[in-house]
Amino acid sequence: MSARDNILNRLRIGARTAFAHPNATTAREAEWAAKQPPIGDPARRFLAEIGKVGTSYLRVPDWTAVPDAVTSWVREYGISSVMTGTTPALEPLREHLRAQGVDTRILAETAETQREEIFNTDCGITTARGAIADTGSLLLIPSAQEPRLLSLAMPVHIALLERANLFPTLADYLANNEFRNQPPTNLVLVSGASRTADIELTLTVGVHGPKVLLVALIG
Amino acid sequence: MKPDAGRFKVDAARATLNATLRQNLNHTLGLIRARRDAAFEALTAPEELQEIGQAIKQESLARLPELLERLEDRLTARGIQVHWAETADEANAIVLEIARRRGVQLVVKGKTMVSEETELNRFLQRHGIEVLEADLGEYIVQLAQQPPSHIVAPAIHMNRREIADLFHEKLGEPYTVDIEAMTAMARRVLREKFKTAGMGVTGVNFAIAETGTLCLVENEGNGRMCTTAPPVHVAMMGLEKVVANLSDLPTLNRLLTRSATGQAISTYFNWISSPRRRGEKDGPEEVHVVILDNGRSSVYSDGELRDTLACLRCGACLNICPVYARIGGHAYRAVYMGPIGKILTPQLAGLETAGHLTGASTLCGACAEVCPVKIPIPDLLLRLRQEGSQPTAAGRALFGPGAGSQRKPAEAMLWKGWQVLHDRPAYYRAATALARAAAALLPRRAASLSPWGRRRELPVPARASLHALLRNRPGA
Amino acid sequence: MTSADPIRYPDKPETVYFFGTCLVDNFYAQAGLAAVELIEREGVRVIFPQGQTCCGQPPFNSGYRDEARRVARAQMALFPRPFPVVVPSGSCGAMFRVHYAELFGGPDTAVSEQAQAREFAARVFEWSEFMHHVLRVRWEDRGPPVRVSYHPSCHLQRELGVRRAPLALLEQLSGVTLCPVEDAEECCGFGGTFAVKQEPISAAMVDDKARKIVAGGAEVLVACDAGCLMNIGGALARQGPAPRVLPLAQFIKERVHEA
Repeated sequence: MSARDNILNRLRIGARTAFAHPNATTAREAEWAAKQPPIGDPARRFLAEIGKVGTSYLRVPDWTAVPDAVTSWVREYGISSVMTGTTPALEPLREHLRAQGVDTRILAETAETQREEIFNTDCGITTARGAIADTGSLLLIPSAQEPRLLSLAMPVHIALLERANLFPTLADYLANNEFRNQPPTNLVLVSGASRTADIELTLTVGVHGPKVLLVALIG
Repeated sequence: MKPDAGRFKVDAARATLNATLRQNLNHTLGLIRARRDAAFEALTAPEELQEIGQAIKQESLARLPELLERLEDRLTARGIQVHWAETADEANAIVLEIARRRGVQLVVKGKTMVSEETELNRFLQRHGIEVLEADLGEYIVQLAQQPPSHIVAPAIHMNRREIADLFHEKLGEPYTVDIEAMTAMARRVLREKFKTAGMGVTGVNFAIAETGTLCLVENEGNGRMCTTAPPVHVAMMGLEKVVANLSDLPTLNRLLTRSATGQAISTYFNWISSPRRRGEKDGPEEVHVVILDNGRSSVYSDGELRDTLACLRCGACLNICPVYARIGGHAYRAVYMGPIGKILTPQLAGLETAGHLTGASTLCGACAEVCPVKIPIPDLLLRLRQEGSQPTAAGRALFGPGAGSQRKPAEAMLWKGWQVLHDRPAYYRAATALARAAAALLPRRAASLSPWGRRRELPVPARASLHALLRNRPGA
Repeated sequence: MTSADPIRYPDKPETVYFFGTCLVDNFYAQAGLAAVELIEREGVRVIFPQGQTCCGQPPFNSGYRDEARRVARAQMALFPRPFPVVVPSGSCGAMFRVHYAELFGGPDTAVSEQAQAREFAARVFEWSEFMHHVLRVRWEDRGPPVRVSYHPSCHLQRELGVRRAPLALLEQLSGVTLCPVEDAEECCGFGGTFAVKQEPISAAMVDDKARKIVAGGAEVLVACDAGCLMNIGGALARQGPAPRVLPLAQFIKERVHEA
């Protein structure tokens, strides 16, 4: 008998035929959530929440305004190199940054072959699949075009988020079944810059992930 | 590290006299408690949320074997390799085998209590593999060659000056008590390690059976690094971490982060559902899950004690516990300390080893009140005390390991005598009258020789008992 | 462990039972008498069965359930009629109301006894709870101005869920100014046998408690549990000049007494 079978057998003996109401708790969660103070306009709530943890943002009307917004951050934070994935939609941005003299790199090979470059770039730029308004969380689904390290390895992370992709709550995102039908390799909710409070419970920003998180809200 | 009744007495007593430790704990625990309370007070009907969390965990536990199989099925279908370990040694051997096959020389770790339970670090190091903790608190205690003293805040027992000394000595960095500067030192050291590590080891906060998803909750980014940068990721989980549905996550995560740190959500909530897929440019090529039993299935077999397995490892019960605040985490000599440790450790390690921990509680109930999934910790302490002190000869061992091991003949006799006196009103009245008279004659100084009187005056017995005062009443 | 259902309080009864508790019997008899007299003052008859001894909590908490059950059985038998049972202690009250169901819930107990334990548990009330919620007393304060701190004992607040009643009673006393205590809801470190078995931890807890009470500036400390008062009072007395420490019923009796 394998460890697996031994363990499962013990558990099967131990299990009582207890209640199983697969969706009872889901319904209760929805009921409970309905009692909470209203979220209001998701964009306003989202921006208020990210503000609480020190995340800065710019609102821009559409994608054409993104390059200027990013450029202003590049100046403000003294960023000399940026990295994006291969996302075609970001080509105008890349061109704009290059024109501004910013060292603009692309993660086009693999993390292994480009390791030194990745860990020695100032700023990663990614799109966001969406965001959760009530907790101020970016919903990132890294992909072949936009690898995970772009939102992790660099001291500054700029996330480009379309307003139409805001969900009031995490439950609202899950209810659309996108994740359930096709779980991606990795999904991460990001709610601010990397932080710790492990020394005297004193909040310190920028441990292993980005020290600065910036969000451009589009639309 | 093994719990030990004799050492507990000594270590706990010593800790209560350690002014620095007490100060460090008071400072930090006070802050965490305030944050936790504020986070719950901001909610409408927070208790209802706790009840839903409790229902979710109970439901998942009721279906545990089925859910574990489904989890395995879904994970395997997407290329995550599932391993089962009955014991800590088996779990460690599995990790070592993977490391050897991949030629791993350096392992970086996210915070995982299960690996503390199996003492993975020491095991891998003995086999020539370097292991580095990447969570700042864990990194600090690893440098100090100490075990974590708290399940969420491992270095809670240390203040910035002690950590500054440590960094100065071990890292050869210039001495500074600036917390930001110390954090930057750790970041520099660990960055290099993330780049070269051959394996990342993490725990799992929730494993979703429905989709085969491993969820990690963290703030620093070390968990993301460990699951992204090295070519191999090994996640270690206790078998109780599986929950049925994706839709369970909003409730459980709300409860976990609010209870642990007072945050509405942690900085990173990381969901992993497969290794690197074709065409993807980063992420581990191999993802493994080690599902650990190590005594849990025996806990599971008892309908009442099973509640222990609902624990989310948020640490709220430690933060509120008046005993933990006085003695800190190390005195327990156990991976799981504080209130949850007092019920979990004796069940995993056996009552004969850790049964004494069930006595280190006033049963004040503060822990049960803050528990996000309403584990009735005091009730389970009472149950375990009963298991520990029952006569073994009676052959009524409801609970396997170490039942009856805490029974001391003198104490058993004392309670038997107590029963005889309190069973018979005449005996009771005579005995208490005698005791009151004797106490009144006792020189006050003698009191300070008793355990009660070392730091407290003895109470003054009533001149006449309430029985006597009410003797001529109706119903007398 | 906490009673999940909100307590349904009965209408004012004509007669109640009084269970004095062993600690009040032997150390705070005057407080027990005060509690009884304050009930009688409301026109309610009080029956005190002389056969009573102890609720059984000490051996129960130590894991010796057989011994506890024997004594508990004898106690229940003393309160056969359907009158409320008033207990001047949150801890003993919780033993009756919350833990008797467990004590008599196992395979060792007859179904009839389980039912008896539940019926008994349902009519147990802690004294302040009974005075506030059932008798709805109204008092006139006759004492001089005084600063008072109230210690909420653990089992009273967490197992019985009684948080408001003692304060509501104190608030009726016009001369009383309540002094808040830092971390008031934290356990004092008594815990029955814990105070002796884990003396260093218990002492560390009660030292902190005593210090915080003194810092609160009260002249009098009241509580609804004799165990906590013995513990806190003992530590206060050892630390130096300290507030007077006494059970809530006795304090109230002194304030409302007609000379």
